[in-house]
Amino acid sequence: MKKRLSRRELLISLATVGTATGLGLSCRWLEGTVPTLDLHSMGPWLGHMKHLGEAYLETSPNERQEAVLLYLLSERFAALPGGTLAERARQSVRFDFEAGDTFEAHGWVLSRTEGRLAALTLNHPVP
Amino acid sequence: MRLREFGACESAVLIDSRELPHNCTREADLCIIGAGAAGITLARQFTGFGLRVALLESGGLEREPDRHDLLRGQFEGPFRGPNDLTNSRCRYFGGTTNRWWGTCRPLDAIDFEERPWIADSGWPIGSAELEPFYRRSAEIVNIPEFEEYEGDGQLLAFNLANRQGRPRVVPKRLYRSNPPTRFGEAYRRELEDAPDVDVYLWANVLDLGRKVDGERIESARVASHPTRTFSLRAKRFVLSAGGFDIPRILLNSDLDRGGLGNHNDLVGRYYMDHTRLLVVGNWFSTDTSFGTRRARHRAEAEPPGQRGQGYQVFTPTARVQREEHLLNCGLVLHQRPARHTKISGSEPYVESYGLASALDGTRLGHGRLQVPQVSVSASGMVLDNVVKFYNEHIPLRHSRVQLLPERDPFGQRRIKVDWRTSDQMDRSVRTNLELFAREFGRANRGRLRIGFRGWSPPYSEQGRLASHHMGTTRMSRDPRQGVVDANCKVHGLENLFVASSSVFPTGGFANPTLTILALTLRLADHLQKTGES
Repeated sequence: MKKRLSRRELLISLATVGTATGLGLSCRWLEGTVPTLDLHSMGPWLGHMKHLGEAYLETSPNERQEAVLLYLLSERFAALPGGTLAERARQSVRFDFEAGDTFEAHGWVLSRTEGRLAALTLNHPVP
Repeated sequence: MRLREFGACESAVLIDSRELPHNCTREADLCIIGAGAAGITLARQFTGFGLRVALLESGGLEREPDRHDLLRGQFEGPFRGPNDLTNSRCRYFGGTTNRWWGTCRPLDAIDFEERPWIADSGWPIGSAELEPFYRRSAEIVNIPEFEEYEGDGQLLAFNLANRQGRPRVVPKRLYRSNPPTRFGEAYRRELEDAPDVDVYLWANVLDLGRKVDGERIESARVASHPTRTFSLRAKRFVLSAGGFDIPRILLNSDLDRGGLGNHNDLVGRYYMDHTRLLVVGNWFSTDTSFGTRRARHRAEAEPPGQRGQGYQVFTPTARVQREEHLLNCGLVLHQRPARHTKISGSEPYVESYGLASALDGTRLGHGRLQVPQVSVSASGMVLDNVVKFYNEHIPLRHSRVQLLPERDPFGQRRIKVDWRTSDQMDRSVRTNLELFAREFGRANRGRLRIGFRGWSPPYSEQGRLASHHMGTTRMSRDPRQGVVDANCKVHGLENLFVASSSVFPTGGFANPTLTILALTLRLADHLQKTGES
């Protein structure tokens, strides 16, 4: 796995973690879709993710720079034993919950990894 | 209604106390006061046993306004829901089972233990002592055997175990009596036909008379009308009138000495109820198979007559409760119809929009009934995905039932309920909800929303009392710490017993009826073994 991941790669991995379902992407819909996921066609979904990202950065203001987020996520995913990026993302979320490394967004308890991935959407254009 | 003469065995009728002569005296071997789940069950255990049993019911066979008015009193507490003094009880044959929902579950083993982090916790008996009686109770209310009883984790509908294989949260089951057993309807005929059981209707017990300077109850003073009373003399008495009326009767008796059984000022204290936090949060699933396993709405429950499997409830394991000093609790992922509209066509199961609709801000935080999480069932019904939370109450000495100066039409002092909670309960609710949220996320089974914005403390806005009146004559080995002993006999009195949730020293999170029945069956065995025929 390469050391530095791009925002686009990470955003696609975001579509595979738990919040995707809560934001209207059903698991069945995601199956087989992720490799060709067109983020530009997912305006409402990205809009909601931006809300989550803002909520996360309120709890972790020192991660406001995208470069910091990309670094932290790349380091984290590289250290995990999983295979694909999607698998590593899910694994990271699971470990966050296990360690109690969570934050609250509008009452929802979400993992730090989900928060960081959501924060990456803030610089992604909504079509 | 025809009056059955005392001692006559051939007629199958109930006794209308209003037709008894004023100031007359009736006699029995065993006098049971209160014909709800406990009283009726106890009386049934004595049919054909060779003792004369008198079962006294304050009301008649249906709800009557003047009897219902006797329930009035004052209630004070962090909130006052719809289940206050008058709506939470029924003063007629069958008692509160005339309106219960039929939800049943044994207490967990840890609920009986003395837990150092919960002051005044600990029963003088353990769960193993009650287990055979729980199984007999299940027959009475027509629920299945508890396959998972004492088997934390055996009923895992999905694997919540962590990498070490040690689950922190386990699914259990809240069973449902289906349809809810109405004890008055279900067992009236049996008691009418029992030659050795006299059922007195409109028999309102005013007080119990103690033998002068003695440790025995001699008689109950009973009123069928504000101006007509009679005396019921018996060898033994059992109070089964519920968690509010049992302390009321005891405190109204022996008034000069502060009430019967009250030499340590404990009658009426330690009042507890389960608090249901109805919409404490929302949930969505990350797994489509989860939908087939979720709690089902009552409307989709089992056909009537089929033994009710009930629905799934998640609880923290006993280990986690010990390690993190938590109160016991149950969390139900519940779906209920959100509105009376349907989505057209036969949409396949569920798209879940909860997080999105919460984030768009349009339906967030407008009060208890505003639920942002919705799904669509296979039949097109719009459903709310809400989290129901059932919380254990801790025993608090200053949470209590007292007498008011105001008297009812029968001249008895009405009650005031001063219900208290504590910061420890609030903290435990919060910690438990966070635990559930983390475990569901870790297992990648979904996400929980554990409160609305500004949600704290939980009791002030979100809660509702479950009408499970517990603790007011608590059980203890030491008379200085409770009102009844391990056999439910009132400390210091030889022949007065209690069959009620009022004896619970702690109440777990489970609905109490099954435990009331188990304790009643155990008391029946005790009375029969030690009986004076």
